[in-house]
Amino acid sequence: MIVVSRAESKLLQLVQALLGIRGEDSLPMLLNQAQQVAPPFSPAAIDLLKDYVSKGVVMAMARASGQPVEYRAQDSVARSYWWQQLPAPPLHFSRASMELLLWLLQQPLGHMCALLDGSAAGLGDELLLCFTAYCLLSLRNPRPWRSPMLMDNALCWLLFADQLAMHTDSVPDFTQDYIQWIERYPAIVSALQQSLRLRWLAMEKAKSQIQQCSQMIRLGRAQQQVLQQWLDAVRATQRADLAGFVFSSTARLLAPGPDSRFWIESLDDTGGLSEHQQACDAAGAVLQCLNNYHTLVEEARQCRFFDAEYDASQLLLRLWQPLGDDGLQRAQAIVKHLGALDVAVETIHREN
Amino acid sequence: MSRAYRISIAESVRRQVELADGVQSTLELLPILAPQRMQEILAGELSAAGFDIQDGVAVRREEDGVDIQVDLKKATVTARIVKQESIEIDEQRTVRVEEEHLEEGTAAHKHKLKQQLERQADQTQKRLQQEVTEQLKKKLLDLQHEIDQLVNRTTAAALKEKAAQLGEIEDISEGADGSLTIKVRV
Repeated sequence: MIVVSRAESKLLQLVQALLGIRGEDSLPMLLNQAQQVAPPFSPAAIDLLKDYVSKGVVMAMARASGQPVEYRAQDSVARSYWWQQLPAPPLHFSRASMELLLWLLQQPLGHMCALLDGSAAGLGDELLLCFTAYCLLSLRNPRPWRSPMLMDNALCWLLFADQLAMHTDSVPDFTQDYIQWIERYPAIVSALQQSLRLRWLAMEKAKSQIQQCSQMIRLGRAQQQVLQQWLDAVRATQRADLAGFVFSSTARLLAPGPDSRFWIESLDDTGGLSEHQQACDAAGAVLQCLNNYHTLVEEARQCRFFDAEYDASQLLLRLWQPLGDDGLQRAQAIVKHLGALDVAVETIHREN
Repeated sequence: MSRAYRISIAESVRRQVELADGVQSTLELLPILAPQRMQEILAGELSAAGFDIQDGVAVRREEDGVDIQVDLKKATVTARIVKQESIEIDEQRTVRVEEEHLEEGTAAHKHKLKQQLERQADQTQKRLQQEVTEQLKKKLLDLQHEIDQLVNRTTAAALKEKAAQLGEIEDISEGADGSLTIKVRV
């Protein structure tokens, strides 16, 4: 039997809850109350912690990736779980992971809290940071998101652009980071497609609840910048299939046939028309980006069956299918309407 | 025992403010004829509607100060309102100040009064801005209708021209619902 102190036990409980190993119910209590946890920790506790973190991150990744899907593995396309086709990269955890865990425990994150400095150094740190960020979503406290460790992280921007955009006017250029992610960790970015699909769908659905024009403008700008950077990265690495989450999330979004009012349902229209119109344009930012992403599809359609990229092109076309050209046209019509004078005129009708 | 003085203080706030608001939208012109020709037809319609056209931009100033601008190349329509207003607020007050703190007491009261007037000026500026926005909103109701009509007339004119290129026009009938039927002998 391994004996650990009360403080070490809190640390281990946190890791288990964060990574979904067990005790997720205790997470709100652990995050909302300041815990007396500080090093040094016993070697036995450290060994346990390493074991939980390394296995927990892999399990969390496996859960997050969802059903088997089609992946591009080297020169072929296969339908399987990502870990069956692509070599899983070794995880490296640095001091940053320990700092992150202590930061989560040592203060009430649901209220005021110190910001987390530093940056995730290894792949393990990065993934632990992302799973932590998922837990921050439930706190409904914007302050922790201002932490440099989150604000300077490319993967966090890709997954949580909605949260991070509220604290800055422009997104740092992460194109090179995304290229490195795709080149160095193809298994991970493939596995993240499901998570990305769900997050971008959630971001779009949440727009109907946004009231402040300035918030919508920031979100729209950030979404546009992140999606453009990701598009540049998938182009540079010739991994167009990694744009699939954009197609699948918008296909799901447009499936019930929402009209343009859905995106701006709660938007405050008592201020200036100029700002209101900017906000309406920003509301359609993701749909607007589809035009750029569609160029990948057009290129895939040009690919002939004897070309080397044929399998990859066909994969992209299958990923495009749920949205399709009809979906693109619907998206364009919504964007057009969001940018029309009618939107301002409708505002007047609503007031009357 | 200190004596209290009744001091009369006066402060004023003067501001020249520019109040502006505007919206821009795209014109949905169907590509029936070559872009250059579509622009020419639209320019003709705009001219008939009282717009002045210079360097590919049609401009009309409304009586209520709203500027409407149509960029023929970019196919955008912009409605913008800019107003210059001056805000002037003066106030005079009598305050009680203790003899020992006459100078700093008077200065503190003047500072407080100035802050109150600045707040009043902010509120006035906000109200004026809202009035300008409301003025533009009302204009947009008419403008949207007018722009739709202009686009419809441009489309109809382009269709007639295109039909004439295809053959001999035998009959043109325009329905009350805005539909247009052109019979062409090819």
